[in-house]
Amino acid sequence: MIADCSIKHLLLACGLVWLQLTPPAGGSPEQESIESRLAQVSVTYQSPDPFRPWQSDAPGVRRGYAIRVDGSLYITTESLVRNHTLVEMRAARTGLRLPADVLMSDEQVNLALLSTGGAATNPPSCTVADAVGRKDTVAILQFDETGELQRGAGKVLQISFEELPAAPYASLVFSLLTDLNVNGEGAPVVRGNSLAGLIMSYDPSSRTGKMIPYPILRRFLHDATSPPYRGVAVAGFTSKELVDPAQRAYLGVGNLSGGILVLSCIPGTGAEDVLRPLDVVLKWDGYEVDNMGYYDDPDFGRLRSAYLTHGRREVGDTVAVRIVRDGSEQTVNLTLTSYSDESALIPENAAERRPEYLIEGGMLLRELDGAYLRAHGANWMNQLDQRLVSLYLTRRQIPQNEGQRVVILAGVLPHPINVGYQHFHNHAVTHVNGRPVNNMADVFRIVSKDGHLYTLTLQSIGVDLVLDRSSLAQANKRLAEIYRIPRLRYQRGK
Amino acid sequence: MQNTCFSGLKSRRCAVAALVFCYCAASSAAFSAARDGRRSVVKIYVTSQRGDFAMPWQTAGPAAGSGSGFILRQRRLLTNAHLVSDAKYIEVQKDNDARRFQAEVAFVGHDCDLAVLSVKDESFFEGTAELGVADSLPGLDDVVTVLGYPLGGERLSVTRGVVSRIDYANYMHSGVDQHLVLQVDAAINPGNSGGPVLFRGRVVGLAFQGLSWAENIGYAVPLPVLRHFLDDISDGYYNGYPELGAQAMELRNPALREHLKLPADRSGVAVYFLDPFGSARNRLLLGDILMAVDGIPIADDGTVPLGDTRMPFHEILEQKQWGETVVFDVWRKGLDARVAVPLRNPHDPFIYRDIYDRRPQFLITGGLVFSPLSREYLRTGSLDKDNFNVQLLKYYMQYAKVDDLYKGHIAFIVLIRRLAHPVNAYHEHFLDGILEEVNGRPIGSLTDLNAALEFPRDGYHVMRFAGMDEPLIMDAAAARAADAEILRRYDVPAPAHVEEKMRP
Repeated sequence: MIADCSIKHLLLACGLVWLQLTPPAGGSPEQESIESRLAQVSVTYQSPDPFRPWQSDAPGVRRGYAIRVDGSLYITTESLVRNHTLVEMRAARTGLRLPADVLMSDEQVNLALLSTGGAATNPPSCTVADAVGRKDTVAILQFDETGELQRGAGKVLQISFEELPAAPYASLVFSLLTDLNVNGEGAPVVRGNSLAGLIMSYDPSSRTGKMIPYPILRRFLHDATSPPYRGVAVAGFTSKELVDPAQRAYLGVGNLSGGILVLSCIPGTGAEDVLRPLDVVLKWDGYEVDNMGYYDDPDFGRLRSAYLTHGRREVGDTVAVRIVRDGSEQTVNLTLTSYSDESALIPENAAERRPEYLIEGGMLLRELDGAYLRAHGANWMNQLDQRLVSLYLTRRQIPQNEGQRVVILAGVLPHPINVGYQHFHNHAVTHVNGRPVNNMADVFRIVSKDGHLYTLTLQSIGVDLVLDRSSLAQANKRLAEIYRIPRLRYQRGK
Repeated sequence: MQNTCFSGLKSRRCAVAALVFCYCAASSAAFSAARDGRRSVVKIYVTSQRGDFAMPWQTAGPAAGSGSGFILRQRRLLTNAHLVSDAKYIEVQKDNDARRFQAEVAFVGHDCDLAVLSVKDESFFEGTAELGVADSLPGLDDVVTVLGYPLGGERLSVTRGVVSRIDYANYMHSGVDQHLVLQVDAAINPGNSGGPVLFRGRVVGLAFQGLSWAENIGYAVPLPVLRHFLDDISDGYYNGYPELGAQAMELRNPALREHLKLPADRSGVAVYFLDPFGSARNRLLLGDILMAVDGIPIADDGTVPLGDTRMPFHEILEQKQWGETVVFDVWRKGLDARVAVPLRNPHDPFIYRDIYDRRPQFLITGGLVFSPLSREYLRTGSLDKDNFNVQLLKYYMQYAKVDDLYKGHIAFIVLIRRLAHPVNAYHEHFLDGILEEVNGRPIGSLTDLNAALEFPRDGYHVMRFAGMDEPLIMDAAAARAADAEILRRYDVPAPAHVEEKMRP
């Protein structure tokens, strides 16, 4: 999630001025125009090959925009710079390309910080808007094909808390109607001389775009410039609307009008020891939650109550929660945490990071993640083993013990050493060399201690797969040669 | 594999694209078979009506179709099971005879797609001839003749081709069984189903299915399967193929052989899964190496020598009947052992064969329609295949016995439909969920559900579904009060049809 945690040092070394996050009243005549802060971004990217994790897919190029928020610091979308190998910036009316570094990115809010790394010019900070709502008009900035600035009008149609276009995380999203044919993500949406948001996606058929709005930008910029980066706050439970009168009466809230039903709590979050399944949440942090899970936000109107945590609170804050449990009302205090994909049983890996893997005797071991599942195509649920799919659908966030992952034998590279095993693929692994494995770290530990992987136990297969110890080293060498595998194991940080 | 039945039935399961084939004149050798065939190969007209597994209180169809059959000894008419399954009315007609005679199903083997029909009117058999059954299968490239009434034609058709392959393949009719098949390149078309495949004038198989996407590939139920069926019914009852219920891994890997301490002069396959319903359970053990079956050595790839070819060792079991015993020479924990396995074909609802000749079962309460999980239901067109619950249905079907999900169940009871009514207005998202518990009682059958509904909690039915944290809550009194109105509104004649067998 965090590309580089040493951002503070980097920024300080550049001598940058910290961001001005609240707009000056009435603006400032000497403030740099927001149009002049726009840069076109060209990202060459290369994603790891999901099926041959030792290599990468062919490089591709994405084009979009970033806007300078301070000094040589730019903000853009995470999905634009995902798996970047080269990021180049271009100012208006110039073909000159300046390389940029991605300082950090967070797929949970789809934002990234870039730096051109040049000498600090110390211009005034970009102001971030603080009051744009439904039906307000905004402007969208981009370049035309000649590099000339284009400015289009937009109108905020809808404000909702919904899933992001490029990652399975919900966030505050503004929908805009615009007269501009938006030609790249990251295009800034401005109101006056203030940054109101960044475009994430655009549908030319309806001329509507989805925008990351200013409260999310503001929180991200503040968090990113106050290390350590903590990310968005989560409470850590799943919930459901509670409209059914029979359900309400059975749960003892038949005479009340609002409230949502707690379904499950995610281990390691604030909800784990505070909320219980079948609790009814009536009030969150002082706001009444209705029976469909909405509340009246003072800025944006009717919104999903999850925004109260995501957008209005920080990691570490404690909120008061009014609940009904076993028929009686009570207030509990819940401390918000950040949500780490890494703590899931099956991480989403929305950023498509290269997975840790091990190849021994041609057998490719890795952990199951959402990106790998989805790499099997749009019909992945019906293509893949139903046991893995069902585990992902029902328990992906709920490991049975800390650090538990699903280690799989993803496939077998045919070689004489693994004859008889070559038909196994995407099968859960329970033991390596006779010892139970909870995750790839266990696999690496066992293999490092024992020297090699000699036996593999697969779930529900009553006979171990055994490799010849005496020829394993030679076989690994040969496998690396014939399948042109530069590294037979990849362990992060090693 | 996309197989196609060749019955000519117009039902969905047997739909094929209409194709026009050019038939070349038969040679003199084929003509003899055709002449004999005209006296023994009959056309079968079937009106069938299948249960509707999405609306289980009613039926689909009726559908009319036709196929072929032939007369064997004892005035039996042999044909395919898929032709006469769910039949409501069957007629048979001889070549060059205007009369149709009513027939009935005497025996049916859905696992091998074979059926025997009987005709009460003795006059039907006047002038007919019985076809003889061959003693052995033809070899590759031997010329065979296929007789039948393809594409609904009124006159007997003869096509000729060679045996292209003898192999194991899926039997589409049951959806799950695999047996030997005879692959021929003779033209086989819809309507040929049940017609004999002759070699030197004697029956070596019945045409039964093909591949819709391939050319010149037709499949016949071969002689060994035919014989197995006829032997099985000789006592007046069809038991079906016994199930060994042991899955074994080939031992081609020397390191694995060494690990299992198998001496170099031995060979076999290692048992890695035992089906809780299979015959081998409590006889064979995980890790056992099956070295020989009935004295015939099993190679490291799991094959045994049969004649001049090699076949999977299961072919030895394919020749056995229910009640017979198979003997394995086993390498168990470094020692020789001989293990006799009496073969059974227990009632195993978790095999998920296609269901025929039975009404779908259901139970309705408060407009919620519950039915046992079946392959038929998963095939109904209205299912959203990416839906969470539908994915779970597929998992339960595939892994019922592997992950011990079957325990405590004789079926997985699924909420298959909501007959919309105010009493169930908020229950749409529970659709396709598998009931785990109702009113605190585990649900392993419709009978369990029916019983649990007698014990609402504080006036509410509390239903819990697999993989869902949210309980479905229904006002018990309101549901009971609404039942009659819901059945009337949706034209449902009865609130339930339950014919469950006893818990295993």
